[in-house]
Amino acid sequence: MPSLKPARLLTRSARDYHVAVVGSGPAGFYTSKYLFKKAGDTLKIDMFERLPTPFGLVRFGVAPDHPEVKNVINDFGVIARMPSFRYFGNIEVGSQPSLEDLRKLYDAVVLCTGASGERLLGIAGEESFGVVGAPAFVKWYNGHPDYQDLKLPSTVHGESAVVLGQGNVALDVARLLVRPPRDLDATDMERAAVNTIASWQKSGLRTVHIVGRRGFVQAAFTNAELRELLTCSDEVLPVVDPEELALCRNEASEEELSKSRMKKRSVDILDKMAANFAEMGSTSKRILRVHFLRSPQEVLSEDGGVRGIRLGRMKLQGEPGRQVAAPTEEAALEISCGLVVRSVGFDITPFNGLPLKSNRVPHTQGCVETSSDGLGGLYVSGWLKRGPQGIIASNIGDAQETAARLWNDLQHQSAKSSPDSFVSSLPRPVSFEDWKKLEAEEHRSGHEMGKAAAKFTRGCCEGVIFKAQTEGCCQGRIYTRAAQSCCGGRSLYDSETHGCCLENGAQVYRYGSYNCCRRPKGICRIRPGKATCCS
Amino acid sequence: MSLKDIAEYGSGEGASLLKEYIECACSGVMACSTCHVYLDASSFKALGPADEAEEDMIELAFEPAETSRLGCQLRLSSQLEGMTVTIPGGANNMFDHIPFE
Repeated sequence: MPSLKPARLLTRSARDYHVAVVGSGPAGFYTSKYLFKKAGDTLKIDMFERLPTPFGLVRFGVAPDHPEVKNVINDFGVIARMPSFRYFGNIEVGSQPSLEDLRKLYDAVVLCTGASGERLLGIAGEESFGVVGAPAFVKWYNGHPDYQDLKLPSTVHGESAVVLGQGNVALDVARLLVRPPRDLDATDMERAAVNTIASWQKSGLRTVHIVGRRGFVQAAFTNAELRELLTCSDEVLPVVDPEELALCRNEASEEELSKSRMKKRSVDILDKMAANFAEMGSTSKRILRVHFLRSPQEVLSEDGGVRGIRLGRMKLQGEPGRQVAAPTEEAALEISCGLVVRSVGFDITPFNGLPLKSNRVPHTQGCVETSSDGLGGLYVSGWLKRGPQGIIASNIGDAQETAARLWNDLQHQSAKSSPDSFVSSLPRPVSFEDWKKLEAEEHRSGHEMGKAAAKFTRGCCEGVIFKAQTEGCCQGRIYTRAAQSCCGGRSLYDSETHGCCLENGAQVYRYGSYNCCRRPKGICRIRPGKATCCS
Repeated sequence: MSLKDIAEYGSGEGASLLKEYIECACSGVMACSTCHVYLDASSFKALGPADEAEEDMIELAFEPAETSRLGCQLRLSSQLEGMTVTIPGGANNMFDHIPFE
């Protein structure tokens, strides 16, 4: 193996290098893994994560009915437990500490913060209630603390939902909308989300449309996910219009098809869905209908809420390998629906101190800026570096490149002194040991409910994490919702025997002896033979 | 015993060399393609065809070829004596051949 030759040979100090990694998803962990491979014992890594819990999209992006994809966290756990590695959850880089603070203290900083922004379509009606982006929707059902308040319609108008986009995320969303809720509840999907989907299905949600503007040869979904639409449940019938499928096979697409092993294998799966099309009118199953060569023109709404969507007919134009969807004059298709999920990609969200040019971070082999003026070098890895595309394993080569470049650059600088005093002043970080306790609790409480796990969704109560489904925070004290309540945010009381009177300041009162009245405002003692409100 | 098992748990020079090159992100359940390898033509034939689920993952691997298999599904047997395993370029080309100073 060729060894790296530094341009100038500097005397290496006897001190260890310290690198800060920001973000705990696959990019952060793979970059750490390959840095350790290069550096051995001479490197210390401190990882910072905004949320208390680690693993990024492995925890919040992977579909709950794909648990085996999350096995990679076992690998990440090995890295996290290495003696030269420290994890600090609940620390938001960009606010406290700032990126510049980290660069002053560390020999290098690697940003692995991914992409959580939404891409918009730019069509009329997109802002209607009931139109959501997949990035938010997926995080909602996966228990992400920032998305539990996502506002969604209580029933789905038109008994249909429409998913725009044809990547694997679109297929995930569609599949989860039609799978039987009892199947979903057995996973680690957020129970509140399972209940919402169950109530949608109960109130009539029958069909989910998956809409793509180009043909199947150009679609981004892959075969395992496509096939899964056929196999995921007896209660689900995936269909595609055989005529529309034929439309996808223009000359240029045939040529693309002949060159692609993956797309050739997809024909079989789609033919099975085409064979199902005839049953569509008579089946009692929930329907997953895949549309090709359709593009959204307008979201139709009433009183600000989505009622339907108009889809134009497209045709493919261009050279094989570079075909684009172009509009036609043919009649548009209007689908009556009450939920539209836009699954057309993620986008980089800027954070304080992050250099962005046309929404990408400029870099060379992952290096944004080499070390200068006492500031450690700045590097990027993962989606922030390549753009928001790819699977977990796509981060491997990418992380290797950044790690190699970073390690090479470090050889040209001497190590700063340890950042330990900064680290010990961090406000209430969550350690990896703390996370392991949380994880054990998620599994334990999940199993009690018949689930694979029940994730902690919100809840930092004066620095202590609690699970929002069953607990609350009352002025710094965590309580169990089944037994107690919190009056006015400050007084804990036993909800069986007491009530909370918000009139005239929140006050706890005992049922039977007192009552809470509007007039005169406040607690009123109940006297025998008298009206329950004492005026 | 699969190739990936040797890479992860094996001892000796061969196993440690394999460990350098073969990743296993999903614990060997065909939910990723990080253990993707190329085989020599006769070993590939001797092994028999991959099943559908394995093919689905091979499609997502770095530059799949005719003789691609997943290391975690590659059951070793005496039939495969003398097999040559080639690591795809994408598994290990960024790390040690950096064309910059």
